[in-house]
Parts: sequence; structure tokens; C-alpha cells
Amino acid sequence: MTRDPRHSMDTSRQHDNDMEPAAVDKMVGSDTASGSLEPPIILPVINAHQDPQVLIFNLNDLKQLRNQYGILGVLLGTLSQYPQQNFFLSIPLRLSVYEVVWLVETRRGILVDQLKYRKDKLLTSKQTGKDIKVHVRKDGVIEENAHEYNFITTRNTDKEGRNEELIHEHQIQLQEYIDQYIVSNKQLSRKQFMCNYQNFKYFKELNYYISPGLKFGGDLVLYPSDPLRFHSHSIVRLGSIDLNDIIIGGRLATGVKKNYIVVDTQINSNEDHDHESIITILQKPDTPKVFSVEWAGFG
Amino acid sequence: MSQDDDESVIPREVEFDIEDETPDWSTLSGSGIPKRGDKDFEPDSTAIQSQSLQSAREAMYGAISGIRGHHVKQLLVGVWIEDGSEYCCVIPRIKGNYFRDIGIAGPNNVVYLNELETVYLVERGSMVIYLANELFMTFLKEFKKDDEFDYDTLYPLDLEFLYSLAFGHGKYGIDEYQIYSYLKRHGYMVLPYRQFTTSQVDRYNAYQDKINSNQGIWSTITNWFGWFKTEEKFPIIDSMHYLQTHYFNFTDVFQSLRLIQSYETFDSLKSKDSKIDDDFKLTFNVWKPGNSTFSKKNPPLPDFQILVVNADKNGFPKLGDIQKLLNGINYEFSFEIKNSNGVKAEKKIRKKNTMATSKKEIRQAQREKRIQSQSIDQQTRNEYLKTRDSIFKNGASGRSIILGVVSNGIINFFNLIEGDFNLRGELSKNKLEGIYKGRNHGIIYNGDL
Amino acid sequence: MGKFHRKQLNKIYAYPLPVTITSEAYSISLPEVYPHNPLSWLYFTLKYWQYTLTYEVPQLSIPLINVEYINGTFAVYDDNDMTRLWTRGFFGKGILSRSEPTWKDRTINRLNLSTSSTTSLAMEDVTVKRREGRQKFKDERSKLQALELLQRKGEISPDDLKTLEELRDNLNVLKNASINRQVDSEVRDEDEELIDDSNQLINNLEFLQLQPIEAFFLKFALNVISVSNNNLDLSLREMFQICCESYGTTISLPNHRFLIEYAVYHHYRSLGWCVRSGIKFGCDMLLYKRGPPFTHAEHAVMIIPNDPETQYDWFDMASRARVIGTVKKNFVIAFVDYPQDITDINLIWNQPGSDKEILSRFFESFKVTEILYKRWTPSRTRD
Repeated sequence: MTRDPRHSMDTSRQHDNDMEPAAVDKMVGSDTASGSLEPPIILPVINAHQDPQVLIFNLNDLKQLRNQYGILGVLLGTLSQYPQQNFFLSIPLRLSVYEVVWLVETRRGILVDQLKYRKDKLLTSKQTGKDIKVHVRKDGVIEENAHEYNFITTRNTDKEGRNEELIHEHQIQLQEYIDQYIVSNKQLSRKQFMCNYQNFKYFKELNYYISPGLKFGGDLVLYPSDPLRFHSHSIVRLGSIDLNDIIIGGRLATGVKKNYIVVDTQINSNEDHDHESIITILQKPDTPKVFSVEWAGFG
Repeated sequence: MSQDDDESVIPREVEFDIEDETPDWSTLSGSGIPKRGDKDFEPDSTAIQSQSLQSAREAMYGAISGIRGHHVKQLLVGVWIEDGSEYCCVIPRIKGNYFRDIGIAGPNNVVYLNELETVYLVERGSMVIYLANELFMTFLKEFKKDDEFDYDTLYPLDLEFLYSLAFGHGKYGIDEYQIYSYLKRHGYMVLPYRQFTTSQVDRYNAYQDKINSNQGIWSTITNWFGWFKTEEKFPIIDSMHYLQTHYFNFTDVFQSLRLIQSYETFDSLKSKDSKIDDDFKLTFNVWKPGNSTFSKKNPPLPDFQILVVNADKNGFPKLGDIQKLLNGINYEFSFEIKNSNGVKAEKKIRKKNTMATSKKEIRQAQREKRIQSQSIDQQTRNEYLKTRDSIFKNGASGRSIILGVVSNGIINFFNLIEGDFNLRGELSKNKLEGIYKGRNHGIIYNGDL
Repeated sequence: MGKFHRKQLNKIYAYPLPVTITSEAYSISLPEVYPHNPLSWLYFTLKYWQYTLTYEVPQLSIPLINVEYINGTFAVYDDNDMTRLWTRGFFGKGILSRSEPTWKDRTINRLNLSTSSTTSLAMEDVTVKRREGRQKFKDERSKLQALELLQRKGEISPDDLKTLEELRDNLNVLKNASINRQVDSEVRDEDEELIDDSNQLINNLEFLQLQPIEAFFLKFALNVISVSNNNLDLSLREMFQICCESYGTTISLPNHRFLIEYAVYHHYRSLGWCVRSGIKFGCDMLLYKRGPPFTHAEHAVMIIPNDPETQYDWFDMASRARVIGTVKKNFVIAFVDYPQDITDINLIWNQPGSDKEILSRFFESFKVTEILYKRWTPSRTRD
């Protein structure tokens, strides 16, 4: 019995139900040890009351997410040095709903209604138009507040730091965020959302680095470590599947030298959860059933 | 070629798309064109690996910490205005060549941008943006060309604040912005979707009515005769069928099997039922970077018409949705094009369907060489087969929509095209009759072909 | 494919359906008609009536192919019937072969029972060879990777370093190795039971299995098979019921999966396509212009009933598109409209007419609509 889905290769093999998620430190710098937590990162929520999306603009937060929590997200902004390509992109970093829930649930991040927070913060701001004028020296060094300026810039975030009081005032509870997310994403049922999250969490806590997988025809792509340096091994399909899915999945994953992982979680509770219970259910340690499929083919 | 090779061998990805993979930032240099990095498969806890990871991360963080901005000589300033539910960006003085497809002109040469255009320009460092105050609003009301304003007195918006303002209202979301900026970075010209031709349904039916009234009594008679043509009969219904009828070729056998109805090009325009909910609405009209006839005021037909979909919000569209979208695109029928531009326009349409890349052009040149050495019969036959294959693969009408599907920030594009396999529609028939007359085009097996 | 080979194939697979037509049976053909020459019309009519009156319709004298319905499977056992169904339209699949029933020939080859001297490998044998080679390659590669790790860690001994270099060279050789197409014959104990005293194969263990849609087409549309179950002949109506039930759900509504699939199958067959299962690519059907020996299938069809219940998500579509795209096939979505006014199919039998007439009228109200699905890559359509 292998404890790691990457290693169960030739046939589908089921994981033990009583298996503990392995907490192996895979890489230097990816310590997900829960002991020494930094203060929670602000997770700015854009359009909080209709279609909540979390985008990270603060470079230090982005580094912390990647280096310490193994959270990748997806960069979507134009890289201003190379604005005519789509390969190297820049801030903001868009987090998936599962990444967000995991960060909040493990107290690594807090959700803040960014529009309200920034509007209130504006009232006490001392920033003026002068602050975005800089002097770029011939050697590339950037001087702020110089007498002369030759460049005009846009910052990623404001430079005035966190206002804890306002953060507290405009914080969004996890419950509220999930509810709104499910309302605005009608393709996703409450139950399915919870199963998906359990499955995501299962892989996250096995220390995989996880990306969305639509490009490869799955829900998730798993990397043994940071994809900046490592190839992916697996494409994951969440939830129930039929025979065709196995054929398709095996074929397409093997075609890109990966294996195809099928995972599902049984959530033992009623169809209609009242609102209080969702968080409790999320935290219940359900162990998903995981299968690995590889195309034996005639290769 | 061995018998069923295609069923048994797993082909490795042939069309490797470098955008599918996480980039290796250490290859970012000069042109910004990525190289496929050399990555590891398994962490082995060696110092070499952790060092290379650290330097890869540093390369990435270094690149994305560069400033967004421009030299004061190119100074471009926008101001974000919010007035109740109304909001937009105003540029009192435009500069630079970004405005071919961006912005709407207001009085006194002022230009207004929508939220997608605003964020796009700011994010690439080409424009800075301030938040309007009362002083500025008064200035704008009485604005005349060449009036100056001291922007230092305004609050400069950072990217985070701008995103919150621009996408906090729900008109456009992050998904639409991702697709918009993706296409803009590739050089496409993108405008919000608008139907600037009159309804396809009306034009098509008007044309059909005209044809029918022109034919008058003749059409009635030919329709009558049509009944006798084997095409219209379904002899398969007869239970003794193959035991009673002589067949002299298999085309007639297949003809006799015809039973299931099937779609002909433009069928979707014939039913006037438009009672479908609006889960799917086109989002953008898109023109290729090289489209020389483009103008914002008088745009030519779009090269692509795109619908942005979030994978968690909508499932794959149903047939009714797809047909409604196809009926709603900006489209010119071939009968309309011929009236205005003759043969030239016909060629243009055909070109639309073939994606010209340099490799393809080389192959085409080789093909032409080969064709010259063939006999006329062979040439006709090959042209016929090519045209027919192209209809199977690209449809007859060229009516299609692009779907930009966003799933947790990952973008995927698909093309949905009106298909035509029975080749009985007027459009496909005309194309094929022009090459081989009097053949039953829809039946793929024609003994001699 | 060589010209000679092509000619041979054309001869073997000359006819697209297991129906023998008049011109084939009597080696006759009708004269050409020239539209502007009334004499040619006259001559044509004359000949047509002459043939019709003098010759018997060939299908009358051709016996029906026997299909047995056993354990939920439509099976053809007779060697000649199997060949007829395979060579004329590529119907069915040999249960011991990848598609064409070749077990008998392969076994004769393998056991050297054939009288002809030149034997070459069948597809299935080539595969076995290829697999063996591939496994060896993989074993060697993992040895190499282990050594490479040692090297990265700086713990490699000079001996191992030498092995490492050797492995690298070895791998290159293995990678480029081609398959030896010579047969090595080896009689196993269990093979003895296959051979009789005169060194002949006792019988063919293989049968041809038909999909329900194939069997139904052969019965309903072509009327060239007779289907029996426990030695009882099945009527068209009984066979219709059996086909529906073979899909696992009881039949009542006209969007039953068998009906939807049959409508699409009949549609493409009547357009002359060779239609085969698409399960290897996770789709419903593959369309071949002539058949597997000639060209690869160009189109992969996914069938979606046009009803409110059937809902696919983007992952279903994207993964299929990717699989189909990598084998360079055209992805066709066939939407099927079905008669909305029928609430219980079992009631159609109350209509007047024979079973065949009733079913024909029923299937006439199905409609297939094709939508083509392609991946779009903006970086490649800029010009």
C-alpha cells in the first residue's frame, strides 16, 4: 500500500481509510508547520456582496503565501516590462475559492471587504499625487521623494500600512463568504462545494502544491513541490465519474506524462444544511477515497 | 500505416502549448519570450534543488516587483469619477496610440473609458489614475481644451483600490477582465459586444421569401416533381424492401436508408422562437491585430465574437443556447456579400476559415507544386474532397462563437461552429455543385471516389 | 501505404454494406445517361426493365446471417458470416482481437499450422513486442535516475559513475530500437488442446460481437440478419425491447439512451460513413470515410440528447476535446431532438402497420444537429 497517490501506478489502487495525511517536510522553505504562525494575511475581497473574488496585491503577502504556505494562486496582471505577452504575468494574484477557505479556516488569513475598507481608510489618508512621482536614475535605481522626477507610477497597494481597527470593522466571516460564493456560482451546489473543499484540503495537507486543472481537463493539477522548479505528476478529477471519464482521464493524463487521480468524499449529513453547520462540517476530518488511473494502452 | 494505430497508441501532446505550464522566470529576458525550462520530477532534499528553487522564486519576485509607470514625457492621466451608480474614468487629454479601440469621445476632446479599459491601461503602466474630488468635478464641468488641473491635489489610486472600485459594482467581473486583458496583450482589438447588423433571422427570411416569390408557379411545379425524386422517399419503411428492389449502386442503397432528420446550415434561423433565458450573452467583439479596416466608429464585421463564461457559474450550453448565440452574432450572408463586392468578398470569407501560419503556407506552396503535376480529373477530384472535408471540419456558413471559459483564474478558449454533415443545405450544395455536378454530395461513399 | 497494398484492400473491402446488389450479383451495370440525349434515356429505361424482369433480386437468395443473443451479447459464430460483416461495412468486433476477428489466423501463424511459409506479425503481436521493449526501457531508466540522484548528492562512487555512463548509452540504443517482426513460435502446453491429430486448429474460439445499435441496424434497416435467443427467433419488436433493456434502464420515454444513440448511428450510416465505437477516446462514435484499414477516423462524435436534464460541465468537454485533439480528430457534438409528444414508447405499438413501419415513422421524428467544437489558441490566429 502506498501512502502517496503519485506512487500507485499501474492499476487503480484504493487508499486506506484510516491513513493519516503525511506531514513530511518536502522542501526547505515550505514549512507548513502550524506552530509558528505569522499574523493573518489580509485577503482582499473584491465585489464582496455579489461575486466575491480574492485578489492579492501585496508582494510580501504573495511571497508569504508561496514560500510558507505553498499557496500558488494565479497571476493575472500585465507585467509592465513585457506588456505584450501572456506567459509571464504579474500582480494581482487570484486565489481559488478553495485556497481562500483553507487559508481562513487555518487562521492564516482574514477576509476583508476591500472596497469599504479602502474607502474608510481614505478619510484619514495623507497620500497625495506627489507620492507617485519618482526619479529613475540611469543605473536603474528608483528614488522616491526626489526633487526631480522623471517617472510617474502606480503602486500595487497604498503605502500607509494596515489599519487594524478598520480591518476588524470590515472583516467578512468565512460563513458569509462561502454563502455568497455559492449563491453567485449556481453551477456549484452547497454539497458539491463542501466535497470539493474536503478533497482539496486532503491534497493540500499532503503538502502538494495545487493549481486549477481545466487546461489539462481536470479540476486540479498536483505538483510535488513548487511548480517553478518541478513537473506535475497528477491530474485530479473531483467527485463522481463514469466509465468514459476514466478512459478520457487515463488517456489524457498519460499523454502528458501524468497520472489521473479520481477522488471523492462522502459527507455524512443531510442535503439541506442550515447555515451554522457548514463550518463544522468543513472541519470534520473526512478522509476521501482516492484512486489513481494510468492508461496501460498499447504504447 | 498499420490498421488501428490511432486507437491504440497514446500520442504525446503534439501541440505543446507553453502557456499550459508554470513558466521558468529565470528565462525571462530580452524579448519576454519564454523558453521551456529544465525542471525536476521529484524533490530529493538536496541543497542543489533547494538553491535552484530559491533562485527561481527570486527571479519571479524580482520581475513582478518592477514598477508600473511611464516617463513623464508620455504622461497620460485619468481620473476615476463616481456619482451614485454612475462611474467611469475620464481622460481630459489623450496621448499615445492606445485609443484605436479604447474609449468613447465626449465633449471638448475628453475621452471616457469603461472599467476594463481603465484597469488595463493602468496595470500595464501606461496611465496613472486619481480619484476625483469636488474641485475636479467643477473643473470638468467647465472644462475647455487646454485647461490645466493640478493633479497633485488628488488622491492617486493604487491598483488594489482601482480593482475594488472598478469591479465592485458587478457590471464587469474579474473573469471578463482576464479575457479582455489576455486578448489585448496579444494585440487584438476588443470592444464590448454590440450587434451592429440587423437581425440574421429577418434578413434570411426576407431573402427566402424573395426567392420563393420570384420562382412563383415554377417552384410549385418543381416541388411537385421533387416528390418523385428518390431523395424525398424513405423506402426503408417498407418491410420487404431489399427483397423487392434492384440496386445498381450503393449510393442508391444509402439514399434508401435515409430516415433520421438532420440539420442543414441556417436551420436555426427558420424557427422564430426566441424564448430562451439569457444565461449566455456575447461579451466582446474582437478583431485581429492586423485588421487594417478597423475603426472604432465604423467597425467592420468582427473576426471573433466572444462569450465569457465562468466554469463554476454555467455548465456547457444547450443546443438552444448555442443556436441563439449563433443567430445573434454579427454576420453577413454570402448572398449579401456578392451583391456588393462580387467575387472578392467571397474569397475573403473563405480566408476567414483557414488559419494561416507560416508552416501552413510552406505546406500550401508544396501542395500547389504537386497539384500542377496532376491531371485535370485528379485536380477536380482533390478539390472536391478538400472542399467537402473543409465543410465537415469548419461548417458551411462560417458561423461560430468563441467561448472564453474561466475557472479559478485559468483561461481556456473554445470555438463552437455550426456544423453540416448531410451537405443538403443550399450553401454546401452550391460549393460542391460548382466542382462536381449532379452527385449526391451528402453520401460519403460514392463507389468511384 | 503502397499502391499494391491499396489495390488489395480495395478488392477485399469493395462493398460498404452486407447487402448484395444486382450489379454485383450478375456483373451487370446500367448504361450512362446523358441529359441532352433522349436516346440514352430510352436505352437506360429499356435496360432497367430488362434487368428487373429477368433477374431475381439477389438478397432473396442470400441466407440471413445468424446472430445469437446470449448473456446480453449479440454474437456471430460462423467464420464466413464474421468475414462478411467485417469486410462489408466493418460491423462488430472480434472478442479476442482488437477489432477485426484475427484470432484464428494469429493462432495458426503462431503455432506454425499454416502451409504458407511467410508469416508476419499481426497487430496484436507487434504490441506485445513493443510492450516488452518499453518495459525494459523503463527499468533501465529508473536505474539511471537512481544513480543520477546519487550524483547530485555527490555520493556517487567511480564504479557507479561508469555504470551511469553505460546506462545512458544503453538507453539511447533501446529508445531507437525497432521491433523485430519475425515470429518466434513456441508451443505451450495449453496450445495442445487447440490442435487435433492432423495438426489442424480444432475450432475458432473467437466470435464477432455486435453492439446493440449495430445489430439493430442490420436487422431493422438492412434486414440481413436473423437473431435468435435460446433457439427462438426474435421478432423486430422483441429485438427492439432487448436492445433498449441492454442499456440498463427500462424504456418508457423517447429520450432513452439506446434510441438517441441509434438515431445518430442510423443517420451517419445512411450517409455512407463507417461508424464504430468511440469508447477508446471517451466519445460515443468514430466516423471513418471507408473503414479502419484505409484511413484513421476523422471525426469523433459525442452524443447529447436535447433535453433539459442532460447537463455537461466544462471539464467533461475540455477533457474530451483534449483527448480527441491529440489524435487530430474533429470533435463533433451531435445533439439529438426526439419526439416530444410521446410520453410512453410502449404505446407506439398500438399504431397501425407492421413493426417496421411503426418504428420507421417513430425514428423519422428524431433530428440530429451537429455542432463542431474546437480549441482556440489566440496566439495562433493573430494574422
